[in-house]
Amino acid sequence: MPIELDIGTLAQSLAYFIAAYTIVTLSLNLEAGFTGIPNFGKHLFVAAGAFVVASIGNRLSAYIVSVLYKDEILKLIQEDPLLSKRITEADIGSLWSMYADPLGNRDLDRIMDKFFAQHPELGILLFILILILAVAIGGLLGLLISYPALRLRGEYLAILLLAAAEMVVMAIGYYWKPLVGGTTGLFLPRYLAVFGQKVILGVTVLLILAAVAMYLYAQRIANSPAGRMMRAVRDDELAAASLGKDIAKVRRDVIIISSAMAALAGALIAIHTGSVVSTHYQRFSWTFIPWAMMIVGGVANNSGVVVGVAIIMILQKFVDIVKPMLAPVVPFDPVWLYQIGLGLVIILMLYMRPQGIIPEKPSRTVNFEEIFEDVLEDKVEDEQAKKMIREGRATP
Amino acid sequence: MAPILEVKGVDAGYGKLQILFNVSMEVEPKDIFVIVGPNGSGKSTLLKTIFGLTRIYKGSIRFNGEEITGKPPHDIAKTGIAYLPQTDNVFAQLTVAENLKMAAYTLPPDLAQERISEVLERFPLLKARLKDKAMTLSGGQRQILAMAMSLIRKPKLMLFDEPTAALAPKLAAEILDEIIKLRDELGITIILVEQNAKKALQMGDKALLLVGGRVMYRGGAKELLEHPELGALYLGLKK
Amino acid sequence: MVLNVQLFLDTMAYASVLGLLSMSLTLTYIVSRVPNFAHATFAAIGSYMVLIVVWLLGIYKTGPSWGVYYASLPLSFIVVGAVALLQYLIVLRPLAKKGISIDGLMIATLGIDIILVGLLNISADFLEEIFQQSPDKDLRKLVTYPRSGYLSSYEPTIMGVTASSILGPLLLVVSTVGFYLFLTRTKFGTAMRAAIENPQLAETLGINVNLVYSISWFIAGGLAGIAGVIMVMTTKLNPTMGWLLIVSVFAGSIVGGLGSLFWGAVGGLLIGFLEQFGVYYTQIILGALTGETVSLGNYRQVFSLGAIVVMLLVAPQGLASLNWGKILSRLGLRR
Repeated sequence: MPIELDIGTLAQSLAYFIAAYTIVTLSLNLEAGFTGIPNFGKHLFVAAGAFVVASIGNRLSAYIVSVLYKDEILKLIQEDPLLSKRITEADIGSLWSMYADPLGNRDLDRIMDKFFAQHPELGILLFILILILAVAIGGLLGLLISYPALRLRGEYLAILLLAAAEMVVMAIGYYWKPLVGGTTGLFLPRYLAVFGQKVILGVTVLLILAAVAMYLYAQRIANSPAGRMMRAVRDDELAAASLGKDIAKVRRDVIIISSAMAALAGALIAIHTGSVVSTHYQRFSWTFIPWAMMIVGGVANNSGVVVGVAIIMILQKFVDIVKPMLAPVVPFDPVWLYQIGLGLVIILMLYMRPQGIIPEKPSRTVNFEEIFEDVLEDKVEDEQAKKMIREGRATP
Repeated sequence: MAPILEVKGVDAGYGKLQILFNVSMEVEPKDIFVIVGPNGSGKSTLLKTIFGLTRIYKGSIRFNGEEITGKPPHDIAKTGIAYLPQTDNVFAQLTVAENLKMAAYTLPPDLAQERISEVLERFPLLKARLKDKAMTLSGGQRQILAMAMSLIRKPKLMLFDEPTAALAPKLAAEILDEIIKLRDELGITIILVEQNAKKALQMGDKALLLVGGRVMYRGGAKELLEHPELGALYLGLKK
Repeated sequence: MVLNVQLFLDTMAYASVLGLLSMSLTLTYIVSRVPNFAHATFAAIGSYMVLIVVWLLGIYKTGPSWGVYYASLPLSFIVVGAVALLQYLIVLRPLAKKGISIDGLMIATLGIDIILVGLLNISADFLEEIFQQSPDKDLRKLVTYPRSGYLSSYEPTIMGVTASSILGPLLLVVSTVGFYLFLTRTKFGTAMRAAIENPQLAETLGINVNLVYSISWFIAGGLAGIAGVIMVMTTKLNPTMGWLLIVSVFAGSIVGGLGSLFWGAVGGLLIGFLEQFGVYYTQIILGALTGETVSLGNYRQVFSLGAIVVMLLVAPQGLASLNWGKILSRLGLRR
């Protein structure tokens, strides 16, 4: 059976996914890899960005349009054979709430797209504004969770974050219509009409630029004195206790920054897709896969993250291509095999190469004692023996 | 008399981390054999090595003429060696009676009951506290319980890892007296690792001085106690 | 406000499910020191066993029958127990032996969850295919069941009360008491407590620690399996039905303190009641305020999340750690 491959589309879609996942996984790596904060609710923060775009963004843009360009939008509505009967001049005041409601959203979306095609400059302005809002709200969410994150043991924190994320994404996002339209989701206005027909390509390029910027930023954090301190603390709780408040502040900053990064990715993903449905932001896609990418590529290594992202995304694309060939052969949807395969990959990777394909680089200020401590942590299980070796004369 | 335990040229440690270097020793039956040395010199590791809890790279350990090098701990326990770790040597959440029952886990029920009665005769203080959780016992009582648990299997050789650590001096003396009684009354060979080198060397027959994982002295305990330099150098004993 | 009897009965089934799940999750946590994120999907596997029983025993033809329980309770116990045992033996034990950190172990359980949900999805596809292709008209009606079936229509009633409302609490009580007697009155049970507290010492005494841990995982899985049988009577069958439920299960375990089976069961029960009654009364209050009918059943996990947050902030060691003597005497209930 011949498979038709549109290389251009394939490359573009691959680039989009790699860029989006790079941002999310880098942010996870800052928390989990460098700082030892096991964020099992990453999908909450990605969803937060997308939800801000759909929930606040839709209302805000419809409101601004209905106030500043009342006549124009009214004209567009009246030109529409379907909407002209349903929406009258008196309804313009409630346009903002109609646009965030799944019933009105679909029809109004046509109008909004047309409007932004006529006013691309307003679209760009709103795009930037909403992006800033998403990042800010993501950061605030980070500040909120930093409170328990600095106080709870790892596994309790993991449970709490996963529970909160499932709650917000799977229950509230899915069932509560006023947020992002419930089960049907919401369409977004075409803010970036400036790109014309090539809007998806445009957003993809923006995502790639954002991913590169985030990579450089993450590298800067990792190589800064604060970054080295984070790793030292992750590896030695005693040191954490003795360094006290400074560490708490750095950890909190890391959580805020990572949350904002994930929200940025979520917002750009939403704008790329042109719609937001809560089911797109599930645990599997935005918590499990980023963890898998980090573990495959290399924990606490930003370049490793990029490698891990690329490997898993190429794998996914491969599965997408093979799927139609497999579908007639197996009596079930082959997509499940991809999920099962990913689950197996992560377990095998932990077993065979837990440090990842590109292991963590030793810190640039590393000294003999640190290496010694690492080896000791690695090789000796007995606390008493560790103590003895530290004080004693035994050589590794 | 043939030695009951022979350690020959043993290199051992944890994973790739070597701690003992070419250690040899011979323990005569019914001796109290004392291992002393500064902090972190590998004393506890030597006991663990005998009991199969470390990795042995080189050398051999024979007990009663039988090769036990590289055997897992539960097999070594079956040959008649009992090991009493410094801490966590009883089940704190279990009652005294349950602890003893667990010590007799592999014995047939009748024999188990008989042995438990025997050790309760020996340590009457445990009898009064059978229903209490081990965590409610004092440090000294816990050591006694640990000793009772080892005795249930009628060991020929008992390895004590700092049994008096963190005990008040009077209690510590009592525990050491019990250990001497185990040898005198039951004929059990004892290997003892002790912080209080003076006290240990006074009660010991033979001694081994371990420094940095290497043997510095092997011979009579009293002789080490009276050695002009070694004691002062490594054990903090006054000349 | 008068207590609603029907609500109470419905809640009994759901709360006992959570009791069983929180208790068994606590057991695996005590043994392996890792929160098992796949635990609620264990229950989902048990739920699918009910559909298979309804199909294979022809209950879809005959209607409500005790056969649903006779067959699916032991079947679920064994199948899910085996799944849990395999998870321990093939994945968690080798990884723990390699010294993988707790984060690594947690993500491994998340991986197992993904694998199990994938397998359930494949099974659901298979079942849909079989039902659809069947010449049996009654069986063809089951075609939507693998992804959204309400199986409660096949369970019998006792004096007008659905069996799950009675069987659920009964199973919870029997397994809690049974566990208590097993752990305190039998030699193997005592060895289990010993091996969990101090594996190294237990090993030197000749207790087979690995066997003890394996059996613990099997029992924990089995209990999750029978919880799934009851659970499917209160909700819709779906491969991902465990994904939101895990929030409630963790809430129950955390309320119980993740250290004691008894308190795990109590925690799960409490969470079940908190969710159901929380939703019920909030609906009434919001309804009165807004003058509209409010339906909040989908958001019941909000109460669980709240319970997790409050518990972790107020008493991170759970209810088990509270000084109950002191609390009772403060309340004047005990001198």
